[in-house]
Amino acid sequence: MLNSHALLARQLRKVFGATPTCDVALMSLVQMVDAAYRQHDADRQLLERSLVVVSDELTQRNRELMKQLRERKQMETELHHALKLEAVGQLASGIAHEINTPVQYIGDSVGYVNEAFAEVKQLLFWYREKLVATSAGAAAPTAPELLQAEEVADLTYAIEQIPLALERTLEGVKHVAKLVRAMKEFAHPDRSAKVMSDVNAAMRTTLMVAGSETRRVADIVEDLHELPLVPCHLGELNQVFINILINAAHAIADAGPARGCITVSTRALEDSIEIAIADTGKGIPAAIRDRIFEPFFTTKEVGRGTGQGLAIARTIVRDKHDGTLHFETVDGAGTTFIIRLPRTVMSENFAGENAA
Amino acid sequence: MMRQVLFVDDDRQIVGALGNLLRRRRANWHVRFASSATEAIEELEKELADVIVTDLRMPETDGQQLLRTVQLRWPNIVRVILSGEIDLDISSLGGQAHVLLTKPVDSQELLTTLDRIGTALDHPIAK
Repeated sequence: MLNSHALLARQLRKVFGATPTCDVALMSLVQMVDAAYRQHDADRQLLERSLVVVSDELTQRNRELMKQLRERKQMETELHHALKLEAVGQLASGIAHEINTPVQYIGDSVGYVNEAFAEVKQLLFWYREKLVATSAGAAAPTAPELLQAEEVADLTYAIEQIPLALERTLEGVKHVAKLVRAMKEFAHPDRSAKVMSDVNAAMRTTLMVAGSETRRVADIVEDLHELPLVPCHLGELNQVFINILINAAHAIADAGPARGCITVSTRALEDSIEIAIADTGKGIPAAIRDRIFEPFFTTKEVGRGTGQGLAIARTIVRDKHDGTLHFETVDGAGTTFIIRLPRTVMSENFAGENAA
Repeated sequence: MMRQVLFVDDDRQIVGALGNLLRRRRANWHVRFASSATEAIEELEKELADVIVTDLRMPETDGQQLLRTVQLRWPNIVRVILSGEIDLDISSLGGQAHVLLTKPVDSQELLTTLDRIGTALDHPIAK
């Protein structure tokens, strides 16, 4: 009976005496132990098999996770780009206005010059005709005749206005070119590495691009002091500036119909540079001051903002540039956003070279 | 018949260029200018015009507000918008303007529009 597990049976015989007539209880114990062994063996196999399955599954999951990570990274890049475009989109109608206006007066001015020249030319031809006739013996035109001809050609007005129209045209073309150039610089995609950059120049570009939006509600005061070059992703910094400038314009518009003021100032500190954008808007209510940097937090209606501007601004300044972004606000008086970017060893070297 | 048109635009270059453009129509149109809505109202109080052509985006009072005032106080003045906005639709302006022109408008189109308004004013439809 004990042959179900020979080894166990031998051990039992040693302990309990070598009688083939073992207790029934002892026998059932042996059977139980034996069954437990078999069960264990079956369990182990099952476990091993499931381990293989689980491991396969894990590999698969891992692969999926990696894929998701890659996709997420891609989406982040796209989102980032989309948000940059969003800022530009918000400005699009303003920029179109800014371009359409000069195009309008350029067209009208050149149109006028074109017509006026035709009239002046006609007058000159008339003069020439008279000259030929006079030298052939005809009577010279009288003073009233001359005056009448000049009157018809609108000569006095033309002599006064043609130079003005041409000047206006040149100014318009220059204005459009400047704006288009600023937009190109503003939208310039960043390289992966930071580049030593002139933050004042970037600020001027951004002010130009944001101008149509800001100038409508506020006077812009530029108080830009000389800065050392600092390493940065200029395209991203432009985005920080424009987000804050648009907020400033909105804050002023929300404060009432009165024209406000946006003061942009920069200065070099000992180990950083500081950019401050101050508005005379309504200020940030105490209740939401802690939340303004939260992604998707916004007090603006749909179409005017998605609550991403400041969240992105902080990510760019803090995480990508090791800088700081904070604000000071007074209810009803305005808000100042202050950005500090570190001057690195690299930038100090550069400043040193400049000074030498 | 000699008609009066009042152009309202805060951009002095636009005003200058429109002056040049309208010079050709000096036999038909007496052209006046205002650089803001407030100035436009003052001009109209001094002397009426037949047509007002205004920009929309101007500091302080914008063109829409100006047109509402004109509509209320001088309903007989023909109201024209000349604006650089890109997403304008006359139907959304709720009768504030009779004509909507968007910058850049072709010089010829602007002149033709004025001619047509002039003709319409000279030959009103009998009631």
